[in-house]
Amino acid sequence: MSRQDHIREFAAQALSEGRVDYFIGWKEGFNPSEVIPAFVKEVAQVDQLLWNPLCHHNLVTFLKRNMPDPPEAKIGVCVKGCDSRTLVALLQEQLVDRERLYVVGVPCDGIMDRRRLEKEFAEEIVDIAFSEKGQVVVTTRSGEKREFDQQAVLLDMCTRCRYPNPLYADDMAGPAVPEPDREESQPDWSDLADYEALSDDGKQELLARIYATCVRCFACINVCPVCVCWDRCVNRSRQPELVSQKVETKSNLLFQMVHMFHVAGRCPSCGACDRACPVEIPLYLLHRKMNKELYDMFGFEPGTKLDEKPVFQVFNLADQFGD
Amino acid sequence: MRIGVFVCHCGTNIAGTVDVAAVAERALTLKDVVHADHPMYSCSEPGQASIQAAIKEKKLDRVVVAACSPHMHEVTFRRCVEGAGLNPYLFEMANIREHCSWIHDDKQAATEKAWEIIRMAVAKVRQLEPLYSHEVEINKDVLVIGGGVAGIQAALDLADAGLKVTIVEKETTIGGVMAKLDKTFPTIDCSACILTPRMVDCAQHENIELMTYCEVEKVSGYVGNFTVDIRKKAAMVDWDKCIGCEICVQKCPAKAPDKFNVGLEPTKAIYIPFPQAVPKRAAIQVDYCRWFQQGKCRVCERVCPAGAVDYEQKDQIIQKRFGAIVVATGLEVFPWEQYYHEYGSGKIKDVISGLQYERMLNASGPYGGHVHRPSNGEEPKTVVFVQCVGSRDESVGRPYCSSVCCMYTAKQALLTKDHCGMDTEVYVFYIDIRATGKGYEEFIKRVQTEFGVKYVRGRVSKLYEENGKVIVRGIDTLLGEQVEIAADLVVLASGIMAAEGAKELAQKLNISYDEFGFLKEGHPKLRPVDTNTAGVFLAGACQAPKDIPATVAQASAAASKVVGLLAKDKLKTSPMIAVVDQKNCVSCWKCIEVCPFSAPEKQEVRPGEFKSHVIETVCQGCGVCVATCPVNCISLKGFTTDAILDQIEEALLV
Repeated sequence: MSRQDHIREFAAQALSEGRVDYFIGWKEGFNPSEVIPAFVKEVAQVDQLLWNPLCHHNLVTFLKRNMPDPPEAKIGVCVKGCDSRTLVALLQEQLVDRERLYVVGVPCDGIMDRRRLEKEFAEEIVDIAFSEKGQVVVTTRSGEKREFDQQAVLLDMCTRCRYPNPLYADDMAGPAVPEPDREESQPDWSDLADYEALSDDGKQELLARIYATCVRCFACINVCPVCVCWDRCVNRSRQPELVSQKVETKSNLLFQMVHMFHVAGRCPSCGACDRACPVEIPLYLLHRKMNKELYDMFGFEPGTKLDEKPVFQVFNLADQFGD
Repeated sequence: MRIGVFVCHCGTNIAGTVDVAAVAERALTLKDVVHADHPMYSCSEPGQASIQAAIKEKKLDRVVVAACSPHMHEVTFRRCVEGAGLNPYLFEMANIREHCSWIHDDKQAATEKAWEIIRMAVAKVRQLEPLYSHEVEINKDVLVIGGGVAGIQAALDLADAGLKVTIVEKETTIGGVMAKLDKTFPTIDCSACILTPRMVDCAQHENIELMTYCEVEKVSGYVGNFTVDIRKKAAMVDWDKCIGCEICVQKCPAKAPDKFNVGLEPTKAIYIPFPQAVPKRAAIQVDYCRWFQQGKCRVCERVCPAGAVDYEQKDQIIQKRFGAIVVATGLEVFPWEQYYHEYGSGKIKDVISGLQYERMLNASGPYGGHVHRPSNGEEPKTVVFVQCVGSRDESVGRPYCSSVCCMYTAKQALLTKDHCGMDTEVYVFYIDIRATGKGYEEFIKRVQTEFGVKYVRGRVSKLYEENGKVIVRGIDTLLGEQVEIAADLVVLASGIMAAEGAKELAQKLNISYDEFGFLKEGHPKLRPVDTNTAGVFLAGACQAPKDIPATVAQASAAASKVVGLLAKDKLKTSPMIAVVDQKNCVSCWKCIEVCPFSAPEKQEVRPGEFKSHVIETVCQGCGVCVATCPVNCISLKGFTTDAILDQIEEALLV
């Protein structure tokens, strides 16, 4: 049975037994390269649900405080390995109610980079077909067909994934996929090498350049599963106006810094912000850098242990800083 | 709004560098400022009277005093404006002394900076609102941490004042370092003879509870209402049954290092530190016990007439509540072996520490008071004392004077003559003699003249063994000559360190400590037994090296401070506390996680909807939650976001 079949079966069972009021998964979007979140309320709708390497959305975002509608709803949700870490992060902080959740874990072979795929073609993509062996066949409007190896067009973060299997789930959609021995291996931070090699001025220049295009649409903040302040966000505060509303590089940078520091130590790097940004700002960079610092200083990986607290909310005498 | 600004001269402290009259004049140009003055000493009686008069005459409703640090006089001026009928929290202090005049010499620039600091204070004072104190009930029980002479004295004084006291001591008996000493300077009275009656008093006093073999695990709460978790370590002996008969100690086949006798001779795995121990109860050192290490033996269990041995005992956590805490964790002897390789690193048998010599001299010590050379048991004919080992020596990271070594060395030199005969050659190598206490200088003179102890001014550069003697090579700086003495026994006056674990305890209590681990007093002159945490007091060598008279004096001082604190039934709390704007709270609970006092709680504002709420009487106004709140919905009264933003805006405004 495929993972997709598992998801549909678990959803149908949970809905028919009344264990959940609705079930959140993925469904076909408005064009072939886009998968969108699905909110399934009846057993008859479960056939909408799908699983393929385009299911990039972190559905845990919809469990955030104030989001479940109605507030006491019992919810079923699908999580990939990375998504499960955000769920663990929310559970650590008691920001979601475990009792009202039914979690289906989906072992993941990696998610494809939709934007990169689209850029491969001059024309519109009209069909994407997936083979069992991890091959992807893309058809364009003029009928051009090209076959890719799924692994060749993965998101950059997926190529360094240490948690392909969900850490927290009530049911698993299929057998676990092979994963690195986390005791033995270190995270791969090589994507940060270019940034870290820059001088302070160089870093400043880079950040100014990448944030210059920010339009303050709040997509990164809305999509972030651990960013939980909603309309109370200090970035929106007018009285006092702590962050200028002006769309300019300096204020944009401060805007992003607020987001980064408010999720520091809680962000498990799901990459949702990076994928949501309409102007393709590499938002992932600074969150990754923060996580590297936390890993080096405290050996801390956000959202990996249920009984752990976010690193900035604990005081440990053994922690040492600097020299 | 009618604001008054007072720019203090502080004699020439401020007026020497800042043109106070000009600044005061200029302050009148600020919005809402209706009065400005420059008193000579604002904190003096006429200074305060002029502030009060201005409040009444000019109908001031806000006051700024530009003077010293608020740490120094904020309380003074709050009281002053309150005396004139103003709410004390409608006052703001601008620090133009520590932050300005003391650190600058360019008068024009310093005047300009003072002007900026005052402008900021005025900007803030406009945003202030009247605040009112609450009163909280206080718990009148006192915790004394450490059962040495400091802890004993503090506990007895407190218990006599009618307060319930709990002494927590990490060893199995109270007594501390003083119990190990033989005689005390300068009177040469027996240490145990004066201490043990006090120890017994502690055990018998109806207001004192002894918790020996216990350690403080966790401290929460605040002055008047501390909650302390105490770890009762497993002694593997039921102390309710143990009668202290020592049969188990005699029969125990396993040897273990003897901490009480500073490692001179081994003790047993089951042990009672010394005959006068209070309480006199046995404990098993698990690391050395045959039953725990090899799974065989159980001799103590068989021989115990009271059936007290219990190998299954586990550590227990006991939670207690206290109103005040006296810290008396005492001292530890500098581990010279790890630092002084030129003195043989502890490998030369006939080189011992001062505290070891103390046990050697003691009649209830391992040698019954007989002084002998550890290498061959013979009585020494030549004894050399070396002072300042681990004191006044920056090369080992101990630049401070341990304050007691000059005196104890003189005492030990005298006792050497007493024990081994007047014909024994006794030398003392010293840097300076520090004998400042009552009768101390006279004592040193007596040791030098009456007892003929030879004092050599200079350091010892090397100790080494040759032909069964310890060769002491040093310099006599008065003669300007190298000296070499072939000694039978060398006693190193090892210095004093803060007790092991003092830093960790300080962190639990939220009090400061210095680079050497000594705990910091509130103010070196004016608050020598207070700490910077209200309700926590210091006694004895945990604060700095001290001799017994100074320790006992400080212990009594700490006790009287506690009595003064707990004489009231209720404590006024500071109104400068955190408050949650619940309509903006997003219920992320980070405030609850970070609060060191457990002040924020979840409050059900509507059925099923919880928001954070700060319990007023518990909040100490530290501001951690304010900084943590991601939506900025917690503010600290007296330090609101608006006030701080206005201050910053004023500072950036040119």
